[in-house]
Amino acid sequence: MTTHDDESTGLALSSDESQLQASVERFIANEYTFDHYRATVREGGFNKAFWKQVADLGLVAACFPEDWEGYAQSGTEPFLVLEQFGYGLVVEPLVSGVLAPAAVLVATGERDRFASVFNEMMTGERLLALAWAEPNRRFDLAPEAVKASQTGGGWQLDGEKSTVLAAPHADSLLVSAATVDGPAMFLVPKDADGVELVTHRNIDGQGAADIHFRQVAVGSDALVGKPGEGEALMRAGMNMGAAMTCAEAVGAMDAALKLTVDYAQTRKQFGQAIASFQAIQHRLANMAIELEYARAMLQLLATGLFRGSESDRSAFVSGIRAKIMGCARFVVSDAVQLHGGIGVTDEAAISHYFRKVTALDLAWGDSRYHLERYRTERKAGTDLMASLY
Amino acid sequence: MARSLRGRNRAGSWEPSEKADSDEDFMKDSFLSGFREFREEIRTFVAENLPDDMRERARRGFHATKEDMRRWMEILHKKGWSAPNWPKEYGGTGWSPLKRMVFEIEMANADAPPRNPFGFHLIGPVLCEFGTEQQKARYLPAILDGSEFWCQGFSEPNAGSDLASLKTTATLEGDHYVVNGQKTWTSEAHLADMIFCLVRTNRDGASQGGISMMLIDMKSPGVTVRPIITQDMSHYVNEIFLEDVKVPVENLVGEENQGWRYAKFLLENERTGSAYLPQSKSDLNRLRSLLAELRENGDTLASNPVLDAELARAEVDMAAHEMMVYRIIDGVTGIDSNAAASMIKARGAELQQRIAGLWIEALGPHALPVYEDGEEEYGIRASPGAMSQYLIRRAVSIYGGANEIQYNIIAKRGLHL
Repeated sequence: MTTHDDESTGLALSSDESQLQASVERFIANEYTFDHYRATVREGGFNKAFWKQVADLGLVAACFPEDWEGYAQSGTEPFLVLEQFGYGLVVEPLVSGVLAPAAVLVATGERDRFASVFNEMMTGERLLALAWAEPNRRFDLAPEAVKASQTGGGWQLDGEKSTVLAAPHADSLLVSAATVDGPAMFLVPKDADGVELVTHRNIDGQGAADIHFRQVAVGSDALVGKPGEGEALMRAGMNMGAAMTCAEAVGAMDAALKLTVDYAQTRKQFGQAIASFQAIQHRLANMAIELEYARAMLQLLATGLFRGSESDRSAFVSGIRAKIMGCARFVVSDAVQLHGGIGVTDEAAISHYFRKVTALDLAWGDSRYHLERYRTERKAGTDLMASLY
Repeated sequence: MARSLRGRNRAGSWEPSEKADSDEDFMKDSFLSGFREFREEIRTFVAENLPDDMRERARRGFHATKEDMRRWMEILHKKGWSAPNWPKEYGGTGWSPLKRMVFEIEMANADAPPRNPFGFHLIGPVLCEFGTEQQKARYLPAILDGSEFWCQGFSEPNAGSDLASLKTTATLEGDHYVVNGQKTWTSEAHLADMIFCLVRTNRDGASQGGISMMLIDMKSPGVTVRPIITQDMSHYVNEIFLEDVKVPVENLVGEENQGWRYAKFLLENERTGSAYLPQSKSDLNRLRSLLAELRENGDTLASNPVLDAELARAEVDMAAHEMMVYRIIDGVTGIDSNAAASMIKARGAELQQRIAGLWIEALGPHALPVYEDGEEEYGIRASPGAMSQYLIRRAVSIYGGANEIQYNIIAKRGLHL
């Protein structure tokens, strides 16, 4: 019989992980002040100098596994980095411009072909935008609005994508398109003829764009994976984005709770700090519970994400995300409520956390969407813990 | 590509494991995977040793009878498993807290009946730690083999969530204390041989400072037990009247006026127990089987998307609850341990209530009859104890510190308000 007597369950971070966590925390606290954040948002949501620092510190590489030339050992590293990004309201697109598109490329299994792309991502020289969302298709991953047809020397893309995150800052677009053989993915230079971006700012300060493709001609080497694989590849990207933004949401919840506790201890009404009222205390206590439950789920996600097949992964990610985003929406909603009127102003930091969580939620699938995805894709008789047993 | 490399559980790898050499290779290093053989051992043990009649009663959702609890403790005792939480020298297992949690989860998963917790779970560890040699010799063996039943005399009519305001008094008169007062909400008192009580031995100073813990024989003259019938028309809880009850001084636990300390020690052991994780996981299994069995409009309820969504939501919440428990056991939460215990107590209570609520909604009108012993000729046989559990579980967010008290503790200890 295996005995674990007197052993830890091994849930604590390793010393390498703790160091990474502490260094990201320090870095964000020092560099990414609220003023810095506001300035970045005003400038369109991307600060090149900051991104260079992120890359130089190895924080992008820390998110890539070793067999993809990165530093990640346990798979927990990207969660640690992104939690701090969420805590600091970082708008630079580590998930939408790096990790989610990288997951699509990884899912092709063509490591050698994309090695240079990964290296450029890790050194901060390259961002990709994952162009999948289409007008009035919500989270439908099977492309329809952009069509790709084979030409003599390659492919021609026509159609339209909506609210593509990171697009204004990206060098290339990873585009899902319908072909006669089914969905496919294409790597398209942003400056290709016929590509037109209508850029905008999202509520969380991230830059995004609607993209029109008009007779965009690309070579045959633009095809990523095979025609017909596009939806499965997008699924890998969606799973990565949905998973990683959970870490940002947990960081944002954490910050929102701290801000609210501080505010409640400072704000006086009827001659006393509102934190002395039991009605306020109970709301704060419930926010604290939701944060801890979300943290527990994030640990399950970090522990189990890279186990199992991609088909199991969808249900696993969705079940966990349904819980975490539900917790996050609860916490930031109550945080605004407890701030009172100031909470709904642009001036108050808390409103930015509210917007951050809302944006993370809607960009990668909200709690209800993922609960339904979990419900319909889970295997009968297994539960979310099964992969750890 | 380095196939074998990925086969050795490259946890950080982004590639799906279906390319791994075997599943087993891939699952090596989860913090729970070291218990696979242990889980199997428990499943086999329960399958081979749980009497059929007891399994059937548990499956149908009935509260275990005293005789069931006694027999099961006796069976477990023979295996050395009747008090897994005790130190080895007193007949426990010496298992780590995580291993004990895995044990309880697997026991519940195998539909093993619950044990009377007041002996092995609550007073046992207190006696192991603070009891005299005579107390250990007298009480521990009878808890281990199930022959003696205990109940807990903490709550009083005016001391519920505010436990330290208790008023039952014990006055030293020669070689015994004279105890007077009233205890209430005492689970299983009508089945118990012994009760461990908190009593006031000093009326001066701080309310917590004058409290002592003592062991009282339920057959002592002056002890009267009166049933409280709960809204499920069952008898679990009681009022106890103590009138000039003589308690020998050797039945004092530890030192006089230190009872609060022992009570806190006892409740510390409750920390993850009050999450009710093992039982709730098995409750979720029952919900799954009810939805799979019960029918409506020519199909099973499992294909009803609204009910299935509620099941899915409960599964997700249960996973979060389970991870919370492991994190608390491992001490990695980073929050005050009292606050953490309050979190899982409060959310655990809500989960228990929600799942029982889904049972009875699934049963619909068939949940309505009062089933006295499950052998009646009316109703359907799906889960006769479901309504009873639903009704009694309204109490789980009240006893052991109502949820509102848990929020107070979280606010104070966790958020420093």
